[in-house]
Amino acid sequence: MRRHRRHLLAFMVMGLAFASMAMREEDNPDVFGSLRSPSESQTGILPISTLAFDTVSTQGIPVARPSAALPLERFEITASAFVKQAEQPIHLNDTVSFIIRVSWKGAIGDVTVENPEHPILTGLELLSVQPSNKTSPESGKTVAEFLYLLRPTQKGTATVGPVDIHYRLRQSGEEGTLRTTSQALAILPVPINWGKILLVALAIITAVIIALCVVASVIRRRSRKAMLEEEAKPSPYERILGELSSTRLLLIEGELKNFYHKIAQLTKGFLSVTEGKQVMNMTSEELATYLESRDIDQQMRAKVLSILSRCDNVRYAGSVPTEAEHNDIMADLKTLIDAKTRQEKTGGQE
Amino acid sequence: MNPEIASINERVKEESQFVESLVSEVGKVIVGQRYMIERLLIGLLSNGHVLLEGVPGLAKTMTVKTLAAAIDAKFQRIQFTPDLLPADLIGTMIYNQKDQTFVPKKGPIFANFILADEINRAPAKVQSALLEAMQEHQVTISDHTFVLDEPFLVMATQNPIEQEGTYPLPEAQIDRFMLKLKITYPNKKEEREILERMTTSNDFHIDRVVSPADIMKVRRVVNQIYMDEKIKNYIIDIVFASRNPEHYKIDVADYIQYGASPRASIYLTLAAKAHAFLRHRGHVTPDDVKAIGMDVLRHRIIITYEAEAEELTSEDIVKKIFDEVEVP
Repeated sequence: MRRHRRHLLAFMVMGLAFASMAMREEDNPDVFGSLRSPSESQTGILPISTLAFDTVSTQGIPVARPSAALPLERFEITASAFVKQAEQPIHLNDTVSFIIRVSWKGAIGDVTVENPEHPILTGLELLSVQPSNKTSPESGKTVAEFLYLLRPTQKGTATVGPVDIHYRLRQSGEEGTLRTTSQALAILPVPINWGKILLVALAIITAVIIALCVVASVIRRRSRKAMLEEEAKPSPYERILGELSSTRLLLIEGELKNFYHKIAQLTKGFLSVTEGKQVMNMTSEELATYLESRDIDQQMRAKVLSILSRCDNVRYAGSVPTEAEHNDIMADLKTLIDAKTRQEKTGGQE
Repeated sequence: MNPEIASINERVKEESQFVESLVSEVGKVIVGQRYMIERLLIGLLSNGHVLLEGVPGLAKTMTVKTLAAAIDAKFQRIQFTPDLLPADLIGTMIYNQKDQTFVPKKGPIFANFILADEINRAPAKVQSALLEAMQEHQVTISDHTFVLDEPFLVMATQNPIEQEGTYPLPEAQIDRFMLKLKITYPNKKEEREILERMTTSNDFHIDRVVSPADIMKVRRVVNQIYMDEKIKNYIIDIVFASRNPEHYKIDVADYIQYGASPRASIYLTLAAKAHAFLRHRGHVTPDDVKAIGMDVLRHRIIITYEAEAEELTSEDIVKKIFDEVEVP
């Protein structure tokens, strides 16, 4: 019984010892070379909080143990893989730095680490790879780093596959391989930058307000100008009289037909002030019929038709009037306009 | 005034004296219808044929017959029916037993004034025979070609109703008519006068006012009537506006399938000159072009289905063109 009790005690001590070893391994995941096989490593989504540890996120696992146990123990070769920005959420348009770090005790030349194969990526694309060797003065360890710049291509879960790292000891020529476990990253959609949006909106609103102010000022200035111009603008009859006086230039230039055409147009223009633009495209006969149907002063109607008839004779019948006839037709039109202007000023009392 | 144009004006005034007498002579029988009489005279003076469209009973035949009597011209009325043959129109060769030869027997087309009544009731071959005679002013019977007497004026009538069993004239053949007239009902006053006149006597004596030879002489005067460059350009603008209205900023392009042909420019010019002659003028004004424009163009503009769907006619299009194209 006592013997049994002793065996049970010894078994419990061994169990405690094993448990303590296991706990030590968990507490110090930096240490590689454990006896765990690669299949025992867990592959899954690592939440951002998990990736936030700036230490080792994935342990390297020896795939082919060196023939002698000495190198691992002597150089303490370890490998780790982690995402540099693990503390921050990763968005679609971010660049992700994935680092594989191999370290050993000793000089740079003691261990040769080959460039690893590119990891198999899902939801990520490889932008570039930068290998480097450096010696850490604090721990006296040599570190070989492989930096992979990655960019997410889709939101959701992205994975970085396991990477095999081959090394060789220079002195003994012994070789070995370490493998990192695969990593899962949560990729978030592109964040909405409310601050920037607000800033742009503010800028647009400011620009619109400035533009509106400018437009309002221009409109106000123009309307004032238009008002002034309107005040200074001659009446339609004054305008026709102005054009009539300049029509004589056509006679000086020998443009007889154009002179009479202009006189006819001015006569129709005179009528259009009261009768509307429709009269401008009427022929003399059409105009005669039209005026017949309107309540228009007989004398005025006769004068209008007389002017148009004389114009038609020159324009269509090749008639060549004398200088006196040119003056007469201009005087007749002027008399007509003056009479109408006087009539309008007196309100038809004349 | 330019002496040449002045001389034409004088000559026109002199030669056109008969117009009022002729119209008043026709007026002895026909009440109103001044528009139709004037257009028939325009066709006669400018060597063009006339297509009359109107419902029955509007004195179309009577007017043409009276006009022929006043000119002392030979008149023939041919009723177009579905069984009419070209030989019934132009004539045929008949066998002379005495001489044992074939001799030509001239058809009713050998006259100065032809009234082709209801032209759309005869088959295409008869229409074609008539239209060929209209164009060539000659007909061929067997091996013999006969020149038709001048003046030769065809007035064809079409009934706008009862279209069943008719042979509508193709556009190419309609184009050969210089004018297409739309005859409308007389007004109340005219209708009353027609009633008084036609129910009291049927015996109207028409005096000869001019001879066919006079008409041929007058035609030469009409051709000499002066037309200013601006008027010629105005005519061209009108015809081109019917083909490319968008160039003249007239919003009817969607309604026109085919615009007016060059024949329209020719006939518009000739008809405007004849119109000026009727007004005793030796020169053409835009009024002449506008006055005659509708009759020259209404059958030359082919409208689209869109226009038909919107109940627009070729006359609406012509009116729009005349309203929009700038008068010189």
